[in-house]
Amino acid sequence: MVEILLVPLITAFISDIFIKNKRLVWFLFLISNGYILYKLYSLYGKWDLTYILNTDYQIFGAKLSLGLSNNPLGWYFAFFSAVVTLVIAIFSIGFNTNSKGNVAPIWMLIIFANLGIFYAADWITFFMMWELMGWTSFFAITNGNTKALDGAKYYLALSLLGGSSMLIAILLLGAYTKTFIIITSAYRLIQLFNLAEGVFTTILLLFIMAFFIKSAIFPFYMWPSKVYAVGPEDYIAFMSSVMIKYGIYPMAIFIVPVIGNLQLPKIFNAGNWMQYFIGYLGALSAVVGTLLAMFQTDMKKLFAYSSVANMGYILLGFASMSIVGFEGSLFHVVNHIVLKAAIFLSLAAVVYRTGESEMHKLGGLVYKMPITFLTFLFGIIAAAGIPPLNGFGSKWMIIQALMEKKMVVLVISMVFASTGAFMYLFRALVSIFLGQLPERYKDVKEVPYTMSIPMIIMMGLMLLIGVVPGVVMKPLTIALDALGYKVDIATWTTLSSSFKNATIDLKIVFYMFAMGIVVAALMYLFGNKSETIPQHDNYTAGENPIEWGVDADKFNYSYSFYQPFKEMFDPLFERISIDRFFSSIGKNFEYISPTIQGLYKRGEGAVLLFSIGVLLFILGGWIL
Amino acid sequence: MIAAIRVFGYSLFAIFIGLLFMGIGRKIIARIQLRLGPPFYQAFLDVGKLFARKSITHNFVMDLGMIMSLAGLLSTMLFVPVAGHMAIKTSSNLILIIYLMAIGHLGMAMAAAASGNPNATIGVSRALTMMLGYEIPFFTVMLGLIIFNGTSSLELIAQSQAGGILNWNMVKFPLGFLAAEIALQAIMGEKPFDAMVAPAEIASGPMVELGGKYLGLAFLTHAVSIFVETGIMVNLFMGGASNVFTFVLKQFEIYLITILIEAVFPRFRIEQAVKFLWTVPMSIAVVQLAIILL
Repeated sequence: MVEILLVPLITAFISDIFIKNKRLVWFLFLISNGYILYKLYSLYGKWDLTYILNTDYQIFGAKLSLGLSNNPLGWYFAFFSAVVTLVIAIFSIGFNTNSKGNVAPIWMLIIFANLGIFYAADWITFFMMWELMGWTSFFAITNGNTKALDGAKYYLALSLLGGSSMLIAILLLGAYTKTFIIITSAYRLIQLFNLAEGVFTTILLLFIMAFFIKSAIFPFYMWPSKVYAVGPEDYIAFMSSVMIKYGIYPMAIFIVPVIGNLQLPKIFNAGNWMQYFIGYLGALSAVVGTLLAMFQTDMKKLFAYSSVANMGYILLGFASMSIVGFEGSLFHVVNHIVLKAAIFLSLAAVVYRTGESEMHKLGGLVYKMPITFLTFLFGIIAAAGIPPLNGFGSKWMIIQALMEKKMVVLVISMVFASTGAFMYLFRALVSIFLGQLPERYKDVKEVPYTMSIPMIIMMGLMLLIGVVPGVVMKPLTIALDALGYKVDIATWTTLSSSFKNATIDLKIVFYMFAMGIVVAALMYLFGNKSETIPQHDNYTAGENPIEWGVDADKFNYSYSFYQPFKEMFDPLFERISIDRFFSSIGKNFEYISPTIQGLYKRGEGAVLLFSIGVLLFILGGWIL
Repeated sequence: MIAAIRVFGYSLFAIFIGLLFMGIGRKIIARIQLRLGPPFYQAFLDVGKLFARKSITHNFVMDLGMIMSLAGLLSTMLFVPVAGHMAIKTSSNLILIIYLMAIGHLGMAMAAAASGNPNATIGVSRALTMMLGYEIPFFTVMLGLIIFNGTSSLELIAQSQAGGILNWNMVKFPLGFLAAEIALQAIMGEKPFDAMVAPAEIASGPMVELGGKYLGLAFLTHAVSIFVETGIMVNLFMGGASNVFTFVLKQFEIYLITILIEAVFPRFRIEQAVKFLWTVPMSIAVVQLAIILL
């Protein structure tokens, strides 16, 4: 049990010593991830494994202990992130042969924190791991690159905000429920809620704020676009798929069960205000993320906003507070881990070969990088939620759950976001891979095998989960069953909701699609022969531009792809900007900080600050 | 084996009906505009001719995209109950149908973009924008029906309207039907919502580089999409049908309305179209939804 945490920690130290030897470090990284996956596989089903380190200390009457437990949901998150991490680790070996920095040791430390978060039994361990993850990811993003500093600082500042609000929430929770154990504190919170409604609501909101910051939900949706654009690409694949789920996991084990069991007055017989609070923030993230993704020119920023939208879907599933929605959300977590990793791996491959991430400067790469193209195509089909790939099942479940609860505004915004997803996903496909190949990329080659094999594995995973959702749903339902939820253990290929006659068999969907392909291919073969000709033969109507004394220009329609549509939204985005709101706060701090700095640089200021501190200390003691 | 034959039969049937509708539609438009017009079987002749011609392609993505688009729509068609019959018995889930239909659009868009012509890409960008425009009001109408019937199965919604014209959702929810009709006009890409094709501006948009059997496949895709879209409308609002003949007749009624509007209207610019779809049909649909919920 403990060795699962010790192995990444030791690997991090060893690879820190041998940091110059890239081959060795990345090989260690791969081996260590393989071991973690194997170990997690062997932990499946042993839900009562725990490891508690008791201390004699008490805070507010709550006993302080550090503990790990094999929580079924934690296992579910950890296992599927380990699968994807292993695939990314294979990719990293090839990707990092020529890279400048070496992110492996710090990344290993993040994986340690990752497992710690998913396996923490109490809030203190959870918080420690959370903070470790916060500052280590700062170094992983910058990775010796000064250009990345701005984005990373933004991320660090938000992490600190989230961390401090979580610390306050944990201490208040400890003071009122007299325990730091996560499960016990949830039970006590539900029992004691009516005694101190204001305090417990504050605790929940503080927790929610911390989790929302980490998962980039609506008011905090800016950091992915700033961070993903600058970080090392293979690490960003991990960050966008696994790390953005850290906020979702505590939502699933703590916030959702608590809110679901609170006896709060219902609005329109559908849900209590907290449910709507989560739901509307989720809907806003889905819609705003989608709209912003459409108007990006940098492909990594585009998919950063797409992640924001996907986190919104997950919250919408939580907001339904029904078992179908809950399962759908947790299923979507894994689907998003897989498909976002696939997309970012193919983007990393593009950047590896071209060094360019502005979409309108690329184009026509499909002729040079067909495997990367196919991975990306699979990824966007999955991300758009089109069967038979994996994004569909979970979206379907979330929509069913919301419709069943008659949460019409939420379900309409969900459909808006997932239809809008076609727009930005397709725009990326066109701009990067289709159209005409610019002259400067005519020598680009497909990526080496170490990078293409992981991408092929990702394609296989997406198809597997899409056609046989049971590979994820079975462990999920068994885990939920072990936690005491009333669920039916899922079958291999069917998904069901509690509507009448609402069971879909994804195997049949796949067969139907395969048959459609067969019929269409027959039609295609039935037609007369076709001949492949270069684009210019048709494009310039058979004329040779050189003979006319002009250059053969290449036109790609990819810059400001949705210009007319964007103009519709321009007034809105000009008026409302969360980013501007945050930067105005930042500016105010900048004005204040020299004043404060001046205070403690000079002698009298230090005395003043000291006396204020003492005063606050005394006041604090008096109040408590 | 029998399932495969049934699937093949259903596919050919849908293609046949769709092409027949296209031919009749052209004839009707011609008569409205005081022209003689082509014979009603013209679409069959066109497709035959196109498949017989030699054609050009630019790369494998174009071929793949065309096959994907026809395959996507054919597999969607298999989930739409035709007078209660389906090729393979399964739950005809509305959400599944809507999402599955998208793969056809995606394939078509991919083929068009792979042809490398900027006009085609502009057409695709407009088509996707239009998609966001019509999907919202259409889904809102469907949501009302789904909540009213307590099921998201298209087959059950069709069955619930059995027993005479007064039970049809068209009569029970006239506002919803109106909104869905306006959205349908955009779904089918007919005027005033044909900015993505716009022959005068962007040379037929996505179709600009297609010729020979590629254009033929695009014709077939369009035929199947007509069948699917009118089929969904018939099941949602006109109570399905007891036999295939009545079903096709009802489909033709829906198609006729579309054609009549198409024949006399000019074209919206793309942002006007989206604004219109998000205001007029959307507010009608919201009123209908509110009536159902309250």
